[in-house]
Amino acid sequence: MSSKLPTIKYDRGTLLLTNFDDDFANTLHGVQFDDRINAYRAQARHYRDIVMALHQSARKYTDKAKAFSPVRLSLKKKISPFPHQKEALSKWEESGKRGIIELPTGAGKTVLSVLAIASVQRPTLVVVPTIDLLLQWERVLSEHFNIDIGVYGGGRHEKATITVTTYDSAAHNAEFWGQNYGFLICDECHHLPATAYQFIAEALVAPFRLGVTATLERNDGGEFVCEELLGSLNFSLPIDALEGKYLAPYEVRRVPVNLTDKEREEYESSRKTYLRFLRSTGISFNRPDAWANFIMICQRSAEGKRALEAYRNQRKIAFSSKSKTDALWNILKSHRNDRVIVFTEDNETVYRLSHQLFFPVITHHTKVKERKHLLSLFAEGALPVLLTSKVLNEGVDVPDANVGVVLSGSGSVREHVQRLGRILRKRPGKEAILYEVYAAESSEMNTSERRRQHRAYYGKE
Amino acid sequence: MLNRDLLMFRRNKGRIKPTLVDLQNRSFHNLARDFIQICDNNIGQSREYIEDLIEEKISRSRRKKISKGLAKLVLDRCEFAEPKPNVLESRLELFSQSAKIFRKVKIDESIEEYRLRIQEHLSEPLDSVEEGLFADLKSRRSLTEFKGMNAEELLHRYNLAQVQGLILYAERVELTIEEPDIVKVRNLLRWLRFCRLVANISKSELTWKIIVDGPGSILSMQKKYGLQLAQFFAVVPKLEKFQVEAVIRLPRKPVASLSIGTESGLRSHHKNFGRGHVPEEIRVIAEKFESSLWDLSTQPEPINLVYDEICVPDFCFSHSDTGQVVFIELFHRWHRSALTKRLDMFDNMTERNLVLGLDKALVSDSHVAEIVEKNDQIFVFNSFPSLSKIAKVLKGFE
Repeated sequence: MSSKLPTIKYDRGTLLLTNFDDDFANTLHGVQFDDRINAYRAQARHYRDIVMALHQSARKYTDKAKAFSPVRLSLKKKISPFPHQKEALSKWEESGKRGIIELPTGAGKTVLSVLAIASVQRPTLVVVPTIDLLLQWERVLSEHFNIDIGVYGGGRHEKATITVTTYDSAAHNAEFWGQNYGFLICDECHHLPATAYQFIAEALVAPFRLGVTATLERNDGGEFVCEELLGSLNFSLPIDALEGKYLAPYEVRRVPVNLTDKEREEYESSRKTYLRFLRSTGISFNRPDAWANFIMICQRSAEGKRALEAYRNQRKIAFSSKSKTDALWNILKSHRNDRVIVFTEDNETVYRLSHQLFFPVITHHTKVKERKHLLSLFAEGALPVLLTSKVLNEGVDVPDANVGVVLSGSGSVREHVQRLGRILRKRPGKEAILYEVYAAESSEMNTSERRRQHRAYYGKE
Repeated sequence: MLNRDLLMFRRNKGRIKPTLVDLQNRSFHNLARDFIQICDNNIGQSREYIEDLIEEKISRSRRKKISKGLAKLVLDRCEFAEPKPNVLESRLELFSQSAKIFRKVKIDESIEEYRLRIQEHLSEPLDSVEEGLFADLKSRRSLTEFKGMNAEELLHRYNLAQVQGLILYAERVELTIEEPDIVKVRNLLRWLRFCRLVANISKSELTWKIIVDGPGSILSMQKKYGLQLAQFFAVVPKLEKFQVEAVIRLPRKPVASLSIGTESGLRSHHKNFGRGHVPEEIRVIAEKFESSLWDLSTQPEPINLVYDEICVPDFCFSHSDTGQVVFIELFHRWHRSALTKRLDMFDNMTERNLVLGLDKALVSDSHVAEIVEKNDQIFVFNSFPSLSKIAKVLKGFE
């Protein structure tokens, strides 16, 4: 039997601290006494601080929480980072290999992460938001490391020294995996503050952490949650600092379209019903929970249900009017020798356009095999156009795409910047164009104005 | 389980009461039967078609929310076919063809003209090609199996799901049970462990009080244990008498307390729960064990150990003269992770009368072997402990 040393154990996303004296335990940040079990407990993310405190106080202890050891992860070939990558990595290393790096799409966040993995030399869990990014990370990591890369998500269940998974899979499994990884990378880490995803970073003991994103800022203050869970913002660079040399030069073209008379009539009528209801109920969309409140109030009466239906209808008209399809067709024809990604707000429009124009579709319904195939044909130039709703918004590397068409979207600045990012990867001679097609004299004009409130769009029209 | 927008409840003075359907009311039986029949009668039809029928039924119903809830539970019991073969291949072929045509499109060409040019390269009409273009989407797949049930079973499921739907928003559940059948209590606690929850258990006479929540619930972690609590609750109505108290925190609603018990008439659909399966080997030991000093029970009560651990021993021996009680908990080769956890806590355990029996296969691990070597509360067996091994253990307590 071992003597009663302070012991740290891992328990379903938390740490159990047994045989800790009360005075010492009470000095530890995030540690609480759990009277259900007569021991101290903390979120697993506090592992590093607890171990450091034990070391600093020269206490002997038993560590049963960590189930990983240093590993040798050597790069297949040397990477020569760009100056901004080098500086970002160095700042992150100076912060104890914890923290967040904010760089525009195409600036090389994945390669930077590869360098970070090689620097940390611990089993690594990479968390990504979409299946497309899962596949992309697998490819990039396989190119740089001499080991099999684990993929957990999109129907695959392989775990390895370096494992790539989705936020959804990680949230589901964090309490089972929490002690196995020394390094956590959250790609597009602005997703982490979502309630269901925070647990990923809370439940992992991983002492080393890196968050990468093109758009850290959230309008709900979620960036502070990211910093609490991953470490502070170590480095940030805007798009315009890299345009030309490291990112493709680009221009933005706005294309207003007029609804047909019939569409206009229907649009006005639906909008009137919706606005009348808003006025009668006094709902203000300035409050953060206004949308949920609106939906709830709508459910309470027949008038509310009609208002919700009217809201959906006016949006549908604005998003998918015949004039928009015609405008899109004209844009596509003028870029028939380019590589174009068309973004919409909803899947319905994407499938309708595919039925009409016979261009391929990538939505969340598209299976991994088909996504891979379509992206590779698009990269080869065999497919000139990809239609998508939101799944290609973020991160996915489509370096050959040089034209983006936003046919509809939300008012989110982040979404709009991320969509622009899809076409900015540098290629010799490449000049990118982002079109924004919107219904003039409709609420879509305001939506369009809202999403363009970012320095990436200033002076670009 | 039901989504929040399908939950029906009343709130009054800080209490929340689920609105359950009255099983005596025949109109509910008729409504439930209609939804069951939609699925039963449409095996082979697409999901889209079935959902349209369900939607139509809901739109004609006066009880729309109940109808939506029943429809959700019925759809949960449907199995849909895998996608038809070759849809993907045909689609990719078509897109590849249309891409070539598009590359040559003239700047003044209309969409209609472009479509006509695509039609020229196809052997079937464009309408029919469009129809089959995404035939592998979820909405287009056909119903292959409906795991049938009768109207009464569906209504019971609905009522249980209403309560589970509220417990989804509970932080913890306090359960009081009166259950004379110890087999059911043992099974309940095993189920609790399966749901990865933590419990504090106390007992007086026939009444058990079990406070259930998740390990991280005291740490303001974003992990919610509602799903596990709701999953746990699903078997509770199997107990003879139960009372559940829970604090419910529905988003954007004031906190309310839920109190529900046996009188609610809830019924669990877990058919095998509490049947008290006694493994063959344990039954053989029970039959063959002979001792003038020790009485054997193969269904002992669970023990609450340190660090929230519940031990469900396999044997309990009571000494007829001294009253000494000895528990034996067996770990087979498939219990490796449970054993790791038990050995982790062994140092701090105060129960000196709990003996662990380990399958030889588990001792191949050098760490386990070292602990076994040093500890006389652990013995090793080969596949299953012999009577002589057990007698030797008991000898140590005489």
